[in-house]
Amino acid sequence: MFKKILIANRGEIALRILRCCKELKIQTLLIYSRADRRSLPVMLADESLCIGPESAVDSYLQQDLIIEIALKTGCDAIHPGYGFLSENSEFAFKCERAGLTFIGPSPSIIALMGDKQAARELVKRHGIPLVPGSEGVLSCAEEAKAVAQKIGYPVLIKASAGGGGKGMRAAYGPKELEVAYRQAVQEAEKAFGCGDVYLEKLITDPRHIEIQLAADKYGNVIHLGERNCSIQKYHQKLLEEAPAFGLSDALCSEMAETAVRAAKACGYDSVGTVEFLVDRDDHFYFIEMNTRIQVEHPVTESICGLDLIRLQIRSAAGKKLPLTQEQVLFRGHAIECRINAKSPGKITMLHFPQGLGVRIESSLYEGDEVSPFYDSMIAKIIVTGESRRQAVYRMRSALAELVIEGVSTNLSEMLLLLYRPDFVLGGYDTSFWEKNELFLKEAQLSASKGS
Amino acid sequence: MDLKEIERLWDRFDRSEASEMQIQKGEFSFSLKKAYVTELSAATPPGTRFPRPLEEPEEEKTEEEALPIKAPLAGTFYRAASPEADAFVNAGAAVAKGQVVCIIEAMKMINEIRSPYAGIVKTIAVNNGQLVGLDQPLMYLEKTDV
Repeated sequence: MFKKILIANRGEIALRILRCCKELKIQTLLIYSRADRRSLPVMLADESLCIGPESAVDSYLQQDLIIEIALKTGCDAIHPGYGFLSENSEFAFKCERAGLTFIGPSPSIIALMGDKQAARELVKRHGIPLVPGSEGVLSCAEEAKAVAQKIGYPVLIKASAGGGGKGMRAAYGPKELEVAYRQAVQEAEKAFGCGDVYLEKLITDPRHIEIQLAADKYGNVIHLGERNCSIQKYHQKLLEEAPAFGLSDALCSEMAETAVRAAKACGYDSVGTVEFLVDRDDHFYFIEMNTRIQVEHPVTESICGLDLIRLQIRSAAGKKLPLTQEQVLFRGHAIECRINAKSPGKITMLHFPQGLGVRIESSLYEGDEVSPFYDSMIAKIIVTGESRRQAVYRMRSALAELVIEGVSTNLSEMLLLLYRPDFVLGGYDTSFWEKNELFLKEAQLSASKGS
Repeated sequence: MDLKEIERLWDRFDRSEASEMQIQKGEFSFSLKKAYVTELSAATPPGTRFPRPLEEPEEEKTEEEALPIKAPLAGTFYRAASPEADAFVNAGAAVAKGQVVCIIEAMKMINEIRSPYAGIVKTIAVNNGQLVGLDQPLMYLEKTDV
């Protein structure tokens, strides 16, 4: 097992990794930016070092400096968390060459699965269903039109190096497609430095279902069930739940088996996620594989009782998976709500909900400063209940109890969302936000007037 | 007591709720302790280290009004240009504004650190070869008006 891990991240995930390392008796070194010098992870790490100014490019993304520090301080591994360098194969390769373990899959797997087009081709060869689309990268708008003609509108243009909704454009007809193509290429160039785009049939109002996987370096792959992540605002997830309510057991196990097959196809050797779209006729399509720990991993942990960060560290250290598929047992229902800051500022008052089945993942404390430089997510509220109904009730009372003052947040929207009929019924899809946005906005407005 | 008997006792103990077992039989003594007990009791409690935000060091003025020279980047601190060379400055030395006082090596680049003030070196706060973080005080100067 590792002796000392350098944590190259911030906020709640840095804290999550730190806590896990403490249990495993692994020393920790946290690198941080000037903006995070008074953050909770800095206070709790065994050692910490400020490596640069506020901007992520000058701090959390300083690959060579991070590796140099890891080597000088006697670290034997680097945990990238999520975001930042977590899916950067170049960085993973550099770690490997420096004799450090990158905690995640092998660098070549990150490179392979990170290239969306290569990943599509690989899984296709293994009979995994894909959304119909272009064979590879598009060369021009004319080619895009020809493909769209063949598979039928509406279509979606996506960046080959994409993520987080960047470089993604929908088109419902040829004219619109021309504009969408141009915009997507420009946006992809700006965001990823690579203007390669491809085209897919747009599945209208799908459900976004993902399968959590755990694997080791000996070819063992198990799945830890699915998560429904269909509640998204502009492709950013807001609420996730497990298991996926309203999907048949047969469908879920078929997706899980398919995900395991995809992981085996690329020789996957860490924790990771396979994302699927599920259309109205319950057909599912592979979208991509996330080769890192995900924000919403606690939802899965809550229903299977496993520590995913621990599994990830163990696999990276070359340990075998401690359990077989048959030994994975699920119990109850879990929901996660993401609380995002809408403005930077100082936290003047903070109260987190507590009690049976309530888990908080956050690095916030009273007096803490929410800086404008990074991701806006400031807390994750996770509840677990014996049934979905109990979990929903529990989340409602948890959010009603939550107090964050000093910055404005999406708390009231999240709380109201839990009362929307299509959420309560559980069969919602990715159009949920669009369909409910107006209501949520109005209700929020009247709520603020009321108070 | 033969090996078989010890093995049998060991097995019994392992399955029992007891955490410790001692046997004395004439000259022979034998004791067993469960691993988790050893592990749990061997761990030293971390004390009541309740974390608190680091106080901003900016207003940290000593009676003599010592001024810090802070690291403008993260890297390895060196007091001299090479292992054979003399230190740029020692405690007690007078330093002019803009004079090189140390170097910080980061990513195979040598960065000369110059004093932002004129003064006398009071203390050098880090050891030669030590890794320093951004904004970390490297040395303290007593300001002179020269």
